[in-house]
Amino acid sequence: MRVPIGHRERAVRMHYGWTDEQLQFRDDLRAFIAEHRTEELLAELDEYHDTHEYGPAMRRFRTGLDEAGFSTMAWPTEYGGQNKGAFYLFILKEELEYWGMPYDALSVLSVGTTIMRFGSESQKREWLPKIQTGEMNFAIGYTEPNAGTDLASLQTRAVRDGDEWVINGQKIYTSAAHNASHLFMAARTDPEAPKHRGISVFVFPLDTPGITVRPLWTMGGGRTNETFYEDVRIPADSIVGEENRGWYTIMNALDLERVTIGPYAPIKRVLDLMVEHVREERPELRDDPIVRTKLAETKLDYEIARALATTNAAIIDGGHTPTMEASMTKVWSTDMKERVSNLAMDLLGWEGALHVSNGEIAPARGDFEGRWRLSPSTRFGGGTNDVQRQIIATRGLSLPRG
Amino acid sequence: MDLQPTDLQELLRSNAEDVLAREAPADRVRQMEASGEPDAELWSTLVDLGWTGLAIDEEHGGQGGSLLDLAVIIEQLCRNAVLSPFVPTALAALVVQRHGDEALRADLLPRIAEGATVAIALAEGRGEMHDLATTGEDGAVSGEKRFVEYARSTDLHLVAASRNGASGLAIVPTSAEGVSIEQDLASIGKTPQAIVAYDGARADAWIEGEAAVEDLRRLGSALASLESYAHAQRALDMTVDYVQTRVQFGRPIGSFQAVQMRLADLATRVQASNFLVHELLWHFGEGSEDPEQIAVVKAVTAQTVAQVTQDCHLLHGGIGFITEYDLYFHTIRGKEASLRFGGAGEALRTVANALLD
Ligand SMILES: Cc1cc2nc3c(=O)[nH]c(=O)nc-3n(C[C@H](O)[C@H](O)[C@H](O)COP(=O)(O)OP(=O)(O)OC[C@H]3O[C@@H](n4cnc5c(N)ncnc54)[C@H](O)[C@@H]3O)c2cc1C
Repeated sequence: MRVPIGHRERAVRMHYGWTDEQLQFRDDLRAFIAEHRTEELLAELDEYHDTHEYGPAMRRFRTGLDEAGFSTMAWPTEYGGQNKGAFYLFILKEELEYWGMPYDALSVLSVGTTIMRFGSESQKREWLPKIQTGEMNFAIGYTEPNAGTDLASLQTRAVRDGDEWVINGQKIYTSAAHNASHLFMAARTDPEAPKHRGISVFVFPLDTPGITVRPLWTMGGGRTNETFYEDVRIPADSIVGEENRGWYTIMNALDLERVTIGPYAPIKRVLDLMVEHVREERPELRDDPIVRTKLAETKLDYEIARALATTNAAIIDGGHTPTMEASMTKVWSTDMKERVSNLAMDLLGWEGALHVSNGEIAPARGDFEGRWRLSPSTRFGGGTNDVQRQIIATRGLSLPRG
Repeated sequence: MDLQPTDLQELLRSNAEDVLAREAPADRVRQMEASGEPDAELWSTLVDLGWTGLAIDEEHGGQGGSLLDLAVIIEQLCRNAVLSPFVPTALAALVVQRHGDEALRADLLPRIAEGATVAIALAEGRGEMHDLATTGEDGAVSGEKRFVEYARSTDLHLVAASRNGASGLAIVPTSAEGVSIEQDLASIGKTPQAIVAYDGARADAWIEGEAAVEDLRRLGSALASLESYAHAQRALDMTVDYVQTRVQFGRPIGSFQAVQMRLADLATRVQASNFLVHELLWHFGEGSEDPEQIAVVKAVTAQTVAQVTQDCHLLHGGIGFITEYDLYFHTIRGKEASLRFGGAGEALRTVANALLD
């Protein structure tokens, strides 16, 4: 059965405005964020970039999101959600991104909805409530040293042994494997089959014996991991979906991410922070025609991002699957995130280099510097931008494959 | 026109490659990053090799090399991502040599050749380099400077200040009374730097005149452009190597057209930057440098290093983002260099003004 995350009957075909209900939702959300975005939380967020550990204010916010019904709002009512359309998710994600608020989208949206669609009844009953509260949260174990863009060539093996699966192999960039409760893993279950047809997906606790997690520190400041699996034994019912059909489960998980794939909020955020900084701290730049032109251009870049992301969300909200629209959104917003943070630094000059740890003295709390350092990962993560461009050309424009 | 490096430059380059491969391997660079201090042992090696006196006149204890000779060493230091006060010290030596009186030159230049280090204290506030509030009345320097790289570890500070209504440069020992570090600054490239307060700190010597201060800005900008270029070149070279060994879909990723097109564009920009920075340094040697061109080169190299390093990350995928791998050194150091002595925005303003006013 296909779980409709975004499907709603549309009375009006073309309508460029938000409904009153959607606007109300956004206002409620903004008020909610404003209430939680305290100095304490901001300080924790500054630390979070380095430690990846939630502080007390961040945890309160996570619980609050849940209690207000925001976190699983897009889930069907039968699983405790509100069956809100894709646009709600879109608004939610844009607001949270804009304010830099933490949200466990990976577990709730990608894994949660995949389990709804492909999981067994008992998996759904047992796991979904825990995913909703955040008690169960995931690291994603797809990528391997030799299987990145060519993910289907992954080699980690899962072999059936009685009523268990035995897993052996290595994953890389298994982010959050050091503090998530569970792993959502793709492993090879049939080495003889063509590479896309011998993969299965498993969910198991990260404290299962045989798993070794080694940190990999990133230039963004945060941590990801290498993970090693040596005779890791998990119960037979840890498999999600059909055996050897895992590739399609993974692709579906990626599909569901698409409504939030290329948020425009970061670009708006940089623009707003830049405007504020120039007006308040750098009056000499405010009258500079070059600064004015560049900021105006940034506004155009933002409008393009908003147009692409909204088009994509509208397709999903209408019950369809975007192809090139999602890729366009992803490429533009992630490329632009790099460019606008770079621009902000270039316009500020010397002080643009200051890191968040300098406190008040760093422009916009080091936002531009930190964002620029982080931007590589969004350009090659979630399907590298050059591969997305190929999707636009081949699937979108129907050009022949090279 | 002859763009070939001289025999001496070739020799310098291959020596520097060997020495730095041995003395400044990446793990040592990571230690420098972690400690926030330059490596004293490495510094004495550079001094022994004569690099600190390379561009100082022979009569003042140096080797009488050109700016282009010096550029060879700076480029190699960048290629190895070394954190050292080499560039600010060389910059100070150049300014002293070009503007100091004979007494100062005879005193300071031999000391620098023998290893004394100098920090540049120019910018104030949020990066202001022109309307300076720091004063030096009666030889006592007072004011606050920012972005002073290696402020703690250097022997001397070259402080831009005005006295008797005219600007100039004060040479202040770091240990002088009245010099204090107000705040260490963490910068993208991990180059140690600080906000320094001077409270009646006594200057050892002065270089009079706005011309000296302006030369400091200009040469500083040109050397920062050189560093930006060098980091872009190194990131490009690493990526060209990497795409030939990384295999996906059964082929080296360098065989995919998307990868080739992107690399071709990056290489084109880097090629132009190489010419422009070296041409500019040559003009300094000839005394024919032009403020507009200094700004052009600053903006071109700033754009180049940002785009090249970011695209090299895209081409590397995950591995380039990991700090155990060396690519990020050039991303963060290159970006930092491109902001030193003013960003691309300010450089564009200079170019526009030169065109239109
Ligand atoms: C910080 C971080 C967090 C991550 N988190 C996770 C995680 O939690 N779980 C997980 O499973 N993975 C994670 N990843 C992995 C990420 O998804 C991969 O890095 C990404 O899929 C790219 O794979 P790769 O790094 O092997 O690069 P490669 O696949 O080696 O790509 C290198 C370059 O080759 C190009 N290329 C490859 N194939 C082609 C082609 N056919 N045509 C044209 N160009 C091509 C790419 O566009 C890219 O530019 C993370 C990575 C990082 C750095």
